[in-house]
Amino acid sequence: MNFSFAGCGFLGIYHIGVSSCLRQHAPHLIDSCKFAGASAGAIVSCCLISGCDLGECTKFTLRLATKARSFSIGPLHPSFKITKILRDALREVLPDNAHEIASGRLFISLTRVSDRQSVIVSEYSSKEELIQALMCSAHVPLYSGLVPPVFRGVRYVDGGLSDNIPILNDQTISISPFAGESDICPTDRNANTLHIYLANTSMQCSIDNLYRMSRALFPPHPEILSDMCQQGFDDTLKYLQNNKLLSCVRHLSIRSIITPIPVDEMDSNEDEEDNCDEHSCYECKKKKQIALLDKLPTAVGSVLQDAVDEMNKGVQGYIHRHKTLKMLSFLATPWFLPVDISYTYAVRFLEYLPQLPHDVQVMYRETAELLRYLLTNIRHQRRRYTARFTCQLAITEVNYNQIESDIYPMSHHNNSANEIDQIPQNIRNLNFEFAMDLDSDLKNQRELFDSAHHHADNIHFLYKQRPRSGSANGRLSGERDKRKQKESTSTLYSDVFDSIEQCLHVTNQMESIMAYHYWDENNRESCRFEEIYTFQEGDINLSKLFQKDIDLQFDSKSRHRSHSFGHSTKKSKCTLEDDLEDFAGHKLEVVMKEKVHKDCS
Amino acid sequence: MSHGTEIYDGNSQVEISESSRWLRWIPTSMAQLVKLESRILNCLKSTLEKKYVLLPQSENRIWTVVANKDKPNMPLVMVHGMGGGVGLWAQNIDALAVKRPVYTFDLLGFGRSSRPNFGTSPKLVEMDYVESIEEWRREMKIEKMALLGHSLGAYLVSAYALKYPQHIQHLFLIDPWGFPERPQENERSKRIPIWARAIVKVLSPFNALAVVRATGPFGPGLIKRFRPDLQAKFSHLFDDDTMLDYIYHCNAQTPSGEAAFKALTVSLGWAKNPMIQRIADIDKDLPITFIYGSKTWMDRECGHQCKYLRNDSHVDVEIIIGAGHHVYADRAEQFNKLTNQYLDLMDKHKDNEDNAKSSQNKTKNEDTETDMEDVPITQI
Repeated sequence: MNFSFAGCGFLGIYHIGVSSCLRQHAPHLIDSCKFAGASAGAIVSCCLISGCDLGECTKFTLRLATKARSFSIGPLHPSFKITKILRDALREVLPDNAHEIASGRLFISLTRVSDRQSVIVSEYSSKEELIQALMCSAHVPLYSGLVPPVFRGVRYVDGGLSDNIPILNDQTISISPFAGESDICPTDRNANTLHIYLANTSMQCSIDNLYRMSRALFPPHPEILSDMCQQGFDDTLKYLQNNKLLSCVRHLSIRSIITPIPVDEMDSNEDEEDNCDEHSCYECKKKKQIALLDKLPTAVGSVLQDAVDEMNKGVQGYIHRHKTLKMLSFLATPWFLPVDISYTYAVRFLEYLPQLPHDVQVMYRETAELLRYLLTNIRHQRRRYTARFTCQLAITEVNYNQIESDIYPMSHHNNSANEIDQIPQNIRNLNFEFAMDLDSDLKNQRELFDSAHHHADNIHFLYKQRPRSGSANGRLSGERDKRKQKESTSTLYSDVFDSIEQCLHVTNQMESIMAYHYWDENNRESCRFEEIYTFQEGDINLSKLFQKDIDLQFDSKSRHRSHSFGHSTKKSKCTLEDDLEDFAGHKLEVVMKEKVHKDCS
Repeated sequence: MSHGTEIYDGNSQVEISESSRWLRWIPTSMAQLVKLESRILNCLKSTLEKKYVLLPQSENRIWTVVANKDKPNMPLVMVHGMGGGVGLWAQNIDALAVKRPVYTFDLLGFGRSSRPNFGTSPKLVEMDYVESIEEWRREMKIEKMALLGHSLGAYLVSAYALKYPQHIQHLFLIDPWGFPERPQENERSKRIPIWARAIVKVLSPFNALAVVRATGPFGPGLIKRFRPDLQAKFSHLFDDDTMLDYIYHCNAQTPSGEAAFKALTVSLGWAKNPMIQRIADIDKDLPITFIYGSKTWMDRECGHQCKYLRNDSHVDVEIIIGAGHHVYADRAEQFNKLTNQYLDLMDKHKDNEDNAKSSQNKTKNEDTETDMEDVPITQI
């Protein structure tokens, strides 16, 4: 059997009533059952199993409530630091081995900030960690503070937001201060058929529940709280009686001797055996009779009474009792509040100052992460982008037979630069510049790139097949730098290399729609060619790479000292796939760099 | 099929409501309701007969589902509660229909039945419902039945039992609504602040589920958000939102049943004419069984009070541990078992009565002794 306490803020005093009843009338359950809870429910159940003085707990709750009420805008006033008060109180009231008692027996419901999912923790390595878990579970966003607390490196907020009554198994007894379909809950004299579930908590749509919800974070008068505590006690008693869970000393001892089996099974056994027994057991009868008339235990009851008296005695109480004074204080609020708040914030800021650098660092890191996340997200959502690939084609022609020696090292771009320098004597040099604008919104980009790779392989194959000519004419020594550049870029270009070949092939066969050429001003020897072609789908193998009517601009020029005419720039628009965005992004970066590099050179 | 009982082709119905409006704020239609209902009823293994029953006097149609019509034992008639429909009995029909025919129908103003305009007088609304049930019974040619009602249905069947006890063999009231009297304002409720009262005052003119309709396209989400339990109750039948959608489409249409319910109530759900005041007037030979869930917010005291008020007849109060207001769905197995026990007893009792009658007749002629003993219906 398990108990599950609903999270409910200041109404947690109801749970204290429940707890004191359990301790008084069913202590065997406390020792043998597991407890779960969210927010205030978790705190109370933790206090219950670790054997805290419930009178102290009540006193603390009432003090907290009174304090919250003493501010002009209640618990929202910045000088009401509920988290700190709670933490200090828990440190003081919980025994040093609380985490040992609670591990495996106390299940705390938390809400993970990142995905707003419910998380239940039940193992605690130290008392401090247990308290931290409780604080996380009780952290109402905005109300308790802006920054959610961290538990084991993850940020959590109030468990009541996702799962307010963690149900461990079928035999979980749910306890909630809101009237509804919980096992132990107040029964409003109400016949409304409407009924809702909020974060797993069943709630009847009644005026009383509305009132209770409004009071969960803004505590009511201690007198009302004390009523709630009493109500919790009464409801639990009723439940225990209805389910035959009340224990008397004699039966308790018998039970513990007979059975090592879990309590729930025991109960069912015992029901059958004890039915006659119970009638004869004087203590049981007496206990039941007493229970019928029983009131809250004195420890809790007297505390409640004290708090009520206190509240009514002081100046505050006087003000609250008299309407005119109440009105006056109400009217004065707008004048005093700003001063009050700014003072508190100043003090708070000073207290906070030492932690500032650390927090700024954390904030910076988280902001950066967020930005990165957003960026990647945006990139994923934006299904189109443009990229430019450039490739150079320069043909230096001296001797037809020796062309391969130039191309050959190009295909083996892993060779060191020295090696290439040693074979520069080509008679005919080929140099490409190839630019491609990619504008994507097709879906088969991966295919495209795959096919590009495939063709690139073909080219390598082609180069290898050509007979190697070891000619070493030193004529084109000036070609070196060009080749270096080629070498560095050929890795990149090889991906789309075939396209150039295609382009050349096509341009040879097709008529250009526009063509012109001119002599380079800087270099009188070289000539620039500008040709524009229109591609139709199906014209070339890779035509699916290109959209219809894409303009290819060939800028063939030669800057070399040798008499030449090769050096073409091709720009084309191409469609790419979003699957390959990262891949393409990389390419784009390299290409841009390359371009800048080239521009500079 | 008798005259006056017509089977409407579901599809032709559907088309009419589909084509009527193509642009709408509330995303519901009879077609969707039909689809969802048939998906739910497809889970049942009993042979089902589904039809509209035309009530000759009021000309309303009542959507009726009959399971195992040909079984010999006394039939059981089940009446759903506020905002429900026949689909809610999905976990009960099979188990209860093992030995007897089980009749379920959508109350007027709910589910697939007609949605007439009820008046605002609680007496008239109650009478309309009672008469509709009686007419329906006549059309279905049921002479005597076990009548079972849940929530609002329980209130209505009790009202029916007041007027037509001769057709009922046993009355089951499952978590009944409308029994307790409205209490006097006590100290605690006086403490409730003015703003809360104001909210209640503002909301009170509206029908209970008005917000689900008013939010239009967000309505289904609203139900999913605030009633996840309804899905959990039927989780072993459906993993998806079938049940929630069914509830939504039952209630997103013209709220005639809700208006009727509102007419019966005063200030947040109290009955204007509480049944507890009249329960003693029900024929004292009629045994009544109350079945409550242990977690329900309904006042269970009423059951015990009835026992006291009807001290010269059979009244049993059963509580199913762990169940809430929807007893039959929360703990379907226990509920079915319990109800079947009572129904079996009822059959036995009925047989004994019949035998006693016939043997009485015989004793006159043959002077034989009757050794039949009435089985007390309370002993289970």
